[in-house]
Amino acid sequence: MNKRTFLILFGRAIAPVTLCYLLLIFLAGLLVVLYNLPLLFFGDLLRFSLPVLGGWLIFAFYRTRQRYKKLHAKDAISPNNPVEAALITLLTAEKATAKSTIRDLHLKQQQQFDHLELFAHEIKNHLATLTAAAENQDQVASTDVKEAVRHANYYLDLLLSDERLAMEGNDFAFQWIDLAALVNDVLQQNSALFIHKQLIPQLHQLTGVRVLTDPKWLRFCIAQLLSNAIKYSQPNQTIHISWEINQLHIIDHGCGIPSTDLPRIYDNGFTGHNGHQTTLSTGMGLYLVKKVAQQLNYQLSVTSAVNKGTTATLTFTPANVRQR
Amino acid sequence: MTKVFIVEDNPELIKSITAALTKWQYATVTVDDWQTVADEIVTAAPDLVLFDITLPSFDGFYWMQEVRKHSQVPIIVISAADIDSNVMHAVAAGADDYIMKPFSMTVLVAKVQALLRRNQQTSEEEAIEWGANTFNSLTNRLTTPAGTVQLTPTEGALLQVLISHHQQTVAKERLLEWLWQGGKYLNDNTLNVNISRLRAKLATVGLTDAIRTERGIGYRLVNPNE
Repeated sequence: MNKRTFLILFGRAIAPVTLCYLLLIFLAGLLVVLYNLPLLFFGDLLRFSLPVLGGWLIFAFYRTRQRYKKLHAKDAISPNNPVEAALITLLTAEKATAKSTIRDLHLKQQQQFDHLELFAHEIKNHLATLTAAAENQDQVASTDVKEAVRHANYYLDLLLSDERLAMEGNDFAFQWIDLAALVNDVLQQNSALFIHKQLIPQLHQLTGVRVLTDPKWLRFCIAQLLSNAIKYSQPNQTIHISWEINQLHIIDHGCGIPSTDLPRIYDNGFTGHNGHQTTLSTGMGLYLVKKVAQQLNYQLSVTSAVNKGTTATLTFTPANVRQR
Repeated sequence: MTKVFIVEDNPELIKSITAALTKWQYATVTVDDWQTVADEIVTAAPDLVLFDITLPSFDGFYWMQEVRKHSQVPIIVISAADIDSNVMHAVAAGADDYIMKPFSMTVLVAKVQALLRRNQQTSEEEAIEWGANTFNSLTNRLTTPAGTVQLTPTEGALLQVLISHHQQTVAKERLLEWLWQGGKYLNDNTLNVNISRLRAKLATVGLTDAIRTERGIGYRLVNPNE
């Protein structure tokens, strides 16, 4: 029997009547004083009314107890033998786990919706830019359209990946893949991004490297890291993609991340100081890469120096790497 | 003539794809009756199929299996996302490659050509005619009445794009995109350098001034006699 819940229920049950009684007694006392009535009158009033109140309180107590018992009637199973007792323990434990799982799911649902709002906000931003341009001029330059579409699409893809990752029982399909081929694939998929900013990628020591991983998620991670490298690079710079023992480094020579921001770059929604310079940062990118890395077989780490550049590193488990 | 079958319902998209493919002398066929897509594909016997599996009232995955029952034609799947169950199923059902919406026509054509090359359907692609000149895209040799010159793969790729857009200005971005799809990661500066080198080589076979610069836009290949 949960004392606290019971007391709350009891308190709620007796509160109105008790308050009214106290109010009336107070009024009666006031009148006694005002009309100069004999104090005996007041005393008798109390003497006769208190037992009635007491009786009512006892009645309320038993009624609350009944109500409480009814509320928890389902829990009040009494075992007849040890097997039943064990089953009841199991059942109670299962119920507790189920309750907490449902609570977690609701939390996750809320979090996913928050992400969705973030993405929708960014997408609408770019659509609004396009509409505004269309209002201001008869014809919108195709480069502007392509830009806005590319940005909106980036967030749509991010949204899909986020939803995918949030699903239970993820579909990771591991296979041995040629890393150089995968990286080149990602580079070609994102060529417009590079070309737009006049950046050139350079691959170092990737030939002959094979890794055991889920290719589509590795592609996602590399694309995300490249997108960040591009975001913070200056035009005509080079972005280096190199392999060292069992690590893939993506190195840019851009504006870098201040050391104060560095520990928080994986927080979803984090934008940091650089977020105010470009409109593309939602912080979701790195957050998702970290999530993927945790579920797949590699680790993500980022080092940076302001105005010098940033290096993002994916560290693979040696067992999942083969090198010729 | 190489024939490409397009399974797509968006008329704007069909128009753009057809325009891009026609530039490379490919013929295109679209779906007539959406109930008999597999049969239409088998009957048309195309060299390649572009399959949009994001169409809502249409189980792309199912139709792909149907096609694969009767044909091994190379298939490029048009999907919405990389991390998409549709894509995985499509590849499992027999698709050879995939491309994600929205895509640039440059990327699409590059993928189409790459797939056709892999399937060795391109005996016609080797010799590209341009006026009185022939360019061999496999050996990167340009043969003109005035002589032959050997181009580097990058120069060859550049010339090929310019020839296919003969007389039209090709924007720098498009040239770069094209080169990127071939694995050559250039930017404006390196593109400039390569164009200069190409011009120098063309000059050695009497094709001086064949490549005109359109300031701020791109480059144009003009008629040898212009």
